[in-house]
Amino acid sequence: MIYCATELFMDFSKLFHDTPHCDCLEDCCADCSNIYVRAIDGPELKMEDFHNYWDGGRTATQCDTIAKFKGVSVSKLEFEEDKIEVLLKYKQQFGGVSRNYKGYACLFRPKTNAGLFKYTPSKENKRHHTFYTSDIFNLQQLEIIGIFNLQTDV
Amino acid sequence: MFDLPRHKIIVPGLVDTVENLHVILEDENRILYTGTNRLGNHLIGAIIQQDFSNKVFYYYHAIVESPILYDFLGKRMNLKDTLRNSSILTIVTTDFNYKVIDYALINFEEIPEEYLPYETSFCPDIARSGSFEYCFSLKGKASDEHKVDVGEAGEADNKFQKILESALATMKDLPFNSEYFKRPAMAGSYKTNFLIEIKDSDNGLFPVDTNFIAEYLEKYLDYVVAKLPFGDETTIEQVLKSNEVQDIKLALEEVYYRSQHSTDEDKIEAVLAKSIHHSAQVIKQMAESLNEKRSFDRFELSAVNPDATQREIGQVDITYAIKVEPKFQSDFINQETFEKVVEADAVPKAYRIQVRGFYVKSGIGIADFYPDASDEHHPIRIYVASAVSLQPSVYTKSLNEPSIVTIFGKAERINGKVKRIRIDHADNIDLHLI
Repeated sequence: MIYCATELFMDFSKLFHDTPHCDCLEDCCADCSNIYVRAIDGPELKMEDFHNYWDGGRTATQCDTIAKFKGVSVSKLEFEEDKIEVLLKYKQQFGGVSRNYKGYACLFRPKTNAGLFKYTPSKENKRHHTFYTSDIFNLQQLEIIGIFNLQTDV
Repeated sequence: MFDLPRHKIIVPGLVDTVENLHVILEDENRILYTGTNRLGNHLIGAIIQQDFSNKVFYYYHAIVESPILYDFLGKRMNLKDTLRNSSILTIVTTDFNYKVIDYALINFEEIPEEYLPYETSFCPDIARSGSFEYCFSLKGKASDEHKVDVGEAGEADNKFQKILESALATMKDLPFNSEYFKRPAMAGSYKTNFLIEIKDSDNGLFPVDTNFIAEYLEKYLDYVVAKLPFGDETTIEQVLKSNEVQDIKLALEEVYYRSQHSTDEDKIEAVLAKSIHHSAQVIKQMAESLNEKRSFDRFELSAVNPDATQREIGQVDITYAIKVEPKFQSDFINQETFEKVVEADAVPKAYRIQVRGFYVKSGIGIADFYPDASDEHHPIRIYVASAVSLQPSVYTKSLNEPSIVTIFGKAERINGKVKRIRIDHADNIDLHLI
């Protein structure tokens, strides 16, 4: 059981079952107040959009890499005015290479027990976080703020 | 995913092996990359889609001729046309570890429109980490059989060393020496790797940060080899004002700044102009003599990454001379003196700028200056002094969004035109609110 903030209790047995030696959730926090952005493949949000690549068969041996593969990439919006900057960055990142791969961005606010967030900034994206979904995660645990087509809406 | 054709046979290794992988775009997965196949052909990979049900990715793997690759890397051809003009186009299926599990040869016309890249999809700006090792390849004629005339090879090597020397001649005031070495490269036409070793860089009071020299060097070579011939500029003055040269100049100023070496912007511009001119002249001479060579008819340049992979920079053939010649007609670069500042603000004033490049540690940047409310603008330098971190700040905001912002600084003018703005932030000024 992970305790992170008042009245938040989540199970992550799926996350640990095959790599009990790696503490992927070190430095993670729950967050039910901020808005996050996730690049998705289509105009409608699906559970697949929050599947991680470790469960898809991607392999690694180092714990920090395993932790990266077991979460999904999101960006945190500190302020409402960051939205345009983040969406432009996503548009640039995916570059219109494919119409079927990460051509949309979903803005959402997590609800209680959706999962935990770890701040994992990169050189290109200072707002980058890794989102670890809890065992009971489903799309109803996200408040969808909006879904934007990166080519036509940004 | 649409139904893939199953009737065509592909030679194993032609498209399923990517060597010299250079990932241009990625998020959690590779989106766009270049490399070579097992036979040494240039290959471009671009994601089509992911399929979580089958746990696979679909990618285009396009074998392309050198001119097509460099047109794509130079943003002169979009990704869609690059795929259309590829020599061999395939769709490969990989698992989530990028292991190829299937592939199919396909004609461009067989691909449904919804599976093609957008018309607006061009190669993005490629992040360069900087390199001190470059692979110089002779191409065509006998070189394709891995042999060249001894005299011609020696002459080509000497010329390329001169280009490297002229790139670093811009730093002759800094306390370091450079030595040039050749070392064997991988097979494939006739290749030589040039390695530059920076010596005694820590002898001075303030050591020279070689990472920034490497970054400058790669930008410089990228420009003189691959971008200069294709720019619209018709005079050396326009060349110097181009975004690419301003970016190189910024990188050079950063080297001086990191070395705690005082910089005179006019002097830096003058020495950079001479170096670019000299490098271009050497490449032009090489290009003009290509027709006379028995062993090769063009050459290619790549930067060698620390992991021994390579990033293609450009290809030079006889057309380089024709394209570059008009840009160096004027005697501008022979002028000993440059324009001097004739006017500067006594007190800070409000100015509108849009930042286009910015080093947060040194506070040096380039920006578009908007003298009035219209869209008219011209490039200037900005110099920001601040006791607090400039990351984040109004400058990074303007750069990232991008957006026009109002700043307060002292403008310096030449012939009445603002050329640079110096901004001095006191500790109590909130950089976010300006």
